[in-house]
Amino acid sequence: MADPTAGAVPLLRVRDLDVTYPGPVPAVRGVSFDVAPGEILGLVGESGSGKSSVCTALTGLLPAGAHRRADAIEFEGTDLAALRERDLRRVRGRRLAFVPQQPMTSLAPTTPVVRQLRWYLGDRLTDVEVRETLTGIGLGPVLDRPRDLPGSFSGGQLQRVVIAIAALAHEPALLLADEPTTTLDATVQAQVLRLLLTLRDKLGLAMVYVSHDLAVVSTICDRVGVMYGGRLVEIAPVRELFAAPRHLYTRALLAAMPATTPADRPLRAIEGTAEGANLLPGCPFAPRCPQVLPVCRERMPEPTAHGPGTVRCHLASERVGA
Amino acid sequence: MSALLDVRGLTRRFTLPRPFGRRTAPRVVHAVEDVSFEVAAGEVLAVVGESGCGKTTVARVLAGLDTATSGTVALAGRELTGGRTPADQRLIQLVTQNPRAAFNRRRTLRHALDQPLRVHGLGAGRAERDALVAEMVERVGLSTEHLDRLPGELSGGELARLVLARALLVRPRVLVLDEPTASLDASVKATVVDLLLRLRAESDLAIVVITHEIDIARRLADRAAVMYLGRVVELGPAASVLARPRHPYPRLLLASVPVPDPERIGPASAADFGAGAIGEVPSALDPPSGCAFHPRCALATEVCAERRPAREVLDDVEVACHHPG
Ligand SMILES: Nc1ncnc2c1ncn2[C@@H]1O[C@H](COP(=O)(O)OP(=O)(O)OP(=O)(O)O)[C@@H](O)[C@H]1O
Ligand SMILES: Nc1ncnc2c1ncn2[C@@H]1O[C@H](COP(=O)(O)OP(=O)(O)O)[C@@H](O)[C@H]1O
Ligand code: SF4
Ligand code: SF4
Ligand SMILES: [Mg+2]
Ligand SMILES: [Mg+2]
Repeated sequence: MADPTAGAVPLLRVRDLDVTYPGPVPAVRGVSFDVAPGEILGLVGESGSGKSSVCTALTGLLPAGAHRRADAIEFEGTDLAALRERDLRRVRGRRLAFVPQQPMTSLAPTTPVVRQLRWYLGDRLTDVEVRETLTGIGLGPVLDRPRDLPGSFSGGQLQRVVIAIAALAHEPALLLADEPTTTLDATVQAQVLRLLLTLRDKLGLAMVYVSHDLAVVSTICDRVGVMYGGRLVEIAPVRELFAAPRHLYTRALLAAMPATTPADRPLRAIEGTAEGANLLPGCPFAPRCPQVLPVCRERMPEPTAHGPGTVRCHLASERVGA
Repeated sequence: MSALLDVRGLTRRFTLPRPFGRRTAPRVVHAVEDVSFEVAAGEVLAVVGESGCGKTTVARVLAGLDTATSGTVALAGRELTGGRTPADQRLIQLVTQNPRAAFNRRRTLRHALDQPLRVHGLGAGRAERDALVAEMVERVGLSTEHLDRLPGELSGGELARLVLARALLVRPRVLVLDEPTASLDASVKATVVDLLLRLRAESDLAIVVITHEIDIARRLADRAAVMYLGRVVELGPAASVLARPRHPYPRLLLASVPVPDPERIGPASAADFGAGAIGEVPSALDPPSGCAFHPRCALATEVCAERRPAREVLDDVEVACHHPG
């Protein structure tokens, strides 16, 4: 199977990223991945596993007191980790766009939404183009209410406004989208996904797409990374990940999917909680893993290549070694 | 025997400020129009529909956080008015869509969960309240260690379960959940779904679940209502409405739900989402004439643009459509 992205120079290269919040909460530990130009990388995993923290760390928008460390965060050949905030701001917004999980916080509450749209999009797009694009994602009605403030639109409407601004204001090479369609129903979600994929087709926009909706992830992503307890435990092309998940957490997560469980059977939640997983020296999933080995509690497994994917699991490595 | 929660002709319109210096008529958003449904004790009603179709507005009116323009909300035969007494306020609890906005950023979660108990005079003394809070926090799959943190220090999924815990603590009769599982991972989602199913079995709660996750609605709901542009277009047993709907809008909605497709070869493209005329979501400011769905409906005829279809009984469901399938 030809991988269209194989061998390409990565657009984004992240090596050994750590994010720590005061407490200290090690929210992200030793996360490494690449994103190729035009590639859509899905990021899934347990609530609290650090997906949002990865996105905010890449954009340099971590809250005060939070700490980021990495061996490399290279974006289009520039080391973002070494940039000063002022220079980072120039990259962010132009080449690197971000749709945060709480989109409402990125709109000014006292300025009409339509004025904010004009402000961000007016330089690049004519009024007709703005209307066409917004109508394409069902936002025509927003343009008809030019004086209304963010507070009087629905969450789903604001979410699409924020996506439109992030994706269209400049010509970003990479869009970090943190649960961008979580508040949208299926028909509107389809419209937004179509807009994002059109931008990829036309402009080669690459994306990091954080989502809990495994059906959407399996439909739009090229590769998928799985996070647990601050660790990236598995990353593989979408087909391999869904057909042959290797990490025991990935398996449990896929088994809990409503779409794969017959309606008359209860959903298979994973026993136990992820509480404290971020602090464990070994595999963060060890306390809940049905096949845990003694070594799992002591040592974090090293990343091992399995076909086109990479996995951090002692058992998966053993299976290959044997 | 009437249902525990009885909603009749609920309408909520928002009047927008007039553009400066113009003598035009005030513009009105028709957020909710003539919505009626019942929910029995121990029953779960799912409300599904497009973003902006008025689901959250219905939820806010039910919980007494917003006042209906017209229509009534009755609980066990007694009408609850918009301005509610604290005692009435407790009876219908709303779990809001955005868990992060639900808590004060500067107070710990222990404070946030203790406060409603104090306001409603539940639990004698600090120790008993602490015990009630601890029990509830464990019931939603978290530990008391979470209680000493600030809301900003918890993930979205952790907060979503704490808002649920806070609502249940005051022992409501009706629980209204606005997108309770939207920001949760598949496993935590399963925990919340199982928790809600257990609550339904154990208690006499009437539960209204607003969700756009059809999978979740199918699992949780006994009955389902589909809203389009402020109106209920189909209402009936979940097994019918969410499997073989008769109205063209829920049919489009079900067809748009992505199904996992790991067999796909090569990168996804926009064309994969081209299925059907998805069309523009109309404006609640100026709803289309007749049936509001007619500009997007493949089955629309002349009568659809002229006359609004009434809700009619068709087998086990009620449908508002001139040409139901
Ligand atoms: N305070 C308000 N003033 C004016 N219009 C409002 C107000 N609140 C809601 N609306 C409008 O009412 C309609 C319904 O909004 P509501 O938030 O209830 O939708 P929703 O179905 O919950 O959407 P979503 O799933 O996207 O959150 C929308 O057109 C919205 O813009
Ligand atoms: N500002 C913060 N201060 C302290 N801890 C935080 C903060 N933000 C997130 N955390 C913690 O970091 C972990 C990862 O959070 P987050 O990145 O939001 O996860 P996700 O997006 O995967 O749900 C969680 O355990 C969360 O409680
Ligand atoms: S490393 Fe060990 S504990 Fe972790 S998933 Fe693999 S087998 Fe389970
Ligand atoms: S009334 Fe007419 S336009 Fe409306 S849903 Fe039925 S067929 Fe379509
Ligand atoms: Mg998150
Ligand atoms: Mg809503």
